[in-house]
Amino acid sequence: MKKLVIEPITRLEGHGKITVFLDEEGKVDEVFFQVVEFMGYEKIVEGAPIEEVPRIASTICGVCRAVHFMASLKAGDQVFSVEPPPVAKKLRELLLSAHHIEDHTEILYAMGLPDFICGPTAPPEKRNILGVAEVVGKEFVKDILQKRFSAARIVEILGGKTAHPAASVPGGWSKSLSEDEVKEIQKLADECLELGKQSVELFKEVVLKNPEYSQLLKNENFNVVTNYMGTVDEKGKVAYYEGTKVIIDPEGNRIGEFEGKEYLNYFAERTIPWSYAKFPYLKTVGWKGFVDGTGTPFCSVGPLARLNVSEGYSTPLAQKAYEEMVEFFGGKPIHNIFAYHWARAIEILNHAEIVKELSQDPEITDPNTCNPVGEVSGEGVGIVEAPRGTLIHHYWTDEKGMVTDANMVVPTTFNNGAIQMAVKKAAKFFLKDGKYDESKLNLIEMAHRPYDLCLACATHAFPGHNPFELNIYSHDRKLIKRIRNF
Amino acid sequence: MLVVGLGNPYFSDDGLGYRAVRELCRELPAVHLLSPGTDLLRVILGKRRVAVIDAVKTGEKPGTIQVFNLKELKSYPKSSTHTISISDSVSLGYTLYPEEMPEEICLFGVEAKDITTFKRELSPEVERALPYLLKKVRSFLTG
Repeated sequence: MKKLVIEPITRLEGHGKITVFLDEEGKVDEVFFQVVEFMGYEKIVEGAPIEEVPRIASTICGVCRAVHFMASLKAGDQVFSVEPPPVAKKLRELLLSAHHIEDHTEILYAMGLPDFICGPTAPPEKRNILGVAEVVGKEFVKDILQKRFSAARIVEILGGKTAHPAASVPGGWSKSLSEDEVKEIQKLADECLELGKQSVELFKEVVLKNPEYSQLLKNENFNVVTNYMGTVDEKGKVAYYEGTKVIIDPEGNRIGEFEGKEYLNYFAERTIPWSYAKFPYLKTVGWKGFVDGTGTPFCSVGPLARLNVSEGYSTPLAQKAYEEMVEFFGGKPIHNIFAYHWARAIEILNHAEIVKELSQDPEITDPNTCNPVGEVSGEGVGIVEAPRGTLIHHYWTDEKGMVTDANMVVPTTFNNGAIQMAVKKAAKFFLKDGKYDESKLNLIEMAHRPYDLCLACATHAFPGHNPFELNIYSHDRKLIKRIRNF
Repeated sequence: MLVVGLGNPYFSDDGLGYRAVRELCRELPAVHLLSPGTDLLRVILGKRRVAVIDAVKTGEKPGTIQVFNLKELKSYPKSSTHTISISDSVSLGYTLYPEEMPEEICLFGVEAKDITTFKRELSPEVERALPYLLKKVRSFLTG
């Protein structure tokens, strides 16, 4: 048996490793997507005052900073038994949407779309944002970046700090918006709106109008058929800051909905020796190993999952784009992994419309951004939709609000099972003849990019040491040597 | 001018950039970023002289200070888990915004001993190097 190792996985946050086992005929036999980075934030926040946790949690990741901040802030509200005033919720929503725009844009243009714009078999040094500039022109990339900077500036205005927000306070938001700031945000919102429209059009232009790529979207080899989870508002439209968490099965039937800590009724986590990241699965189905299709235990999250569980988007332009996408696939749920990129582009548009709407809300400058805190309840669950999917922060505190325990379930962890299957399917499809070169290895990696992995976020388990296992197999797959430290 | 400190303040020597920003922010414009990405590009556009501070892993003795001219550097030694690397971000800037990019931009790196242990303190070797690093940065930006 031959073993291929792709390490480190390029263009994603964190460290990972894909190991491919080929059989004697050179066909793919087994594939492991391994998380090898190690963080430990659930332990790090122990002992910290809950009101300080958002600022600590925002350093889990340089990319997803605003969402860990927001989920832990919502949990802090519950710990202090306080509901933020309407303006504070709107400011939080505004920041969350602006963050989604900056995050999705970086992921789409710098990580996901280069595979299509520069070509999936282009050499790695050309298959990046600089390569995108070469293909579509410098002015186009400058324009996109400038608009992304507009979203980042909105985050900065609202969060009070470059990149990592600092304006959290249980029961509200520590700063109100001035009239001048609102005017600036409204102007920036127009830029974001253009960015959203451009992103949806670019996807159509680059992917749908290219017969080879368009075919990939309908190729069943790239369908990873799972359950899906996302958040919806009272009209069933995609929601991000708050709403009902909905779970559907692979056929689209609603099989669960929950709020807050009821997530524990639906999910269990399985630890696998070869990965730091845990594998959440639906308790109602039970652990069945790495299988997709009807009865799969895995539940995907993220832009495509949100689209699948919802009745569309709350804003007109995004809703129109959604209807076009559903028509292309002939209905829902959509299981093709490359559709994640399409849904991501639509979400940029949706968020831009939300930012525009909130920035024009007359209440947005209300100076009463905080409510007084109540009794310490000792427990809080904050759930938001992060760019990569549903993010859960669950904290327990002592009577003074000091964290005694924490559980963070992040989108890349929810998607861990689906990613395993996506990578295996891609390996089987592209390595049929056992011949491999760099271009084929990239084709396999294309299967994880739609999930917009964030391994930095996914590896917050703290086993106390770094588990390591080396297995050596003979050609007939007999284990002849195992070396491990756990 | 601008100081950009990179890295995670909670992982020992990876917190070098954060520590440096804390030390310098009273006397120089300074900003901390966890990772570069296009955020680095956003903050350096329009600045004439920029000092980027980060922990590096190049195989040198821990605490060794190295200065890289990012304008000329084609391949920057990887330090930690950053999405779009420092060199990619800076290259992108000079490709797209040649007029707005700094005339001078250097990476002030200190060889890290430990960037994986949860610890707010730097390793003794990197802590000892910090005053010398700050002196070099001040001299580069104001000299």
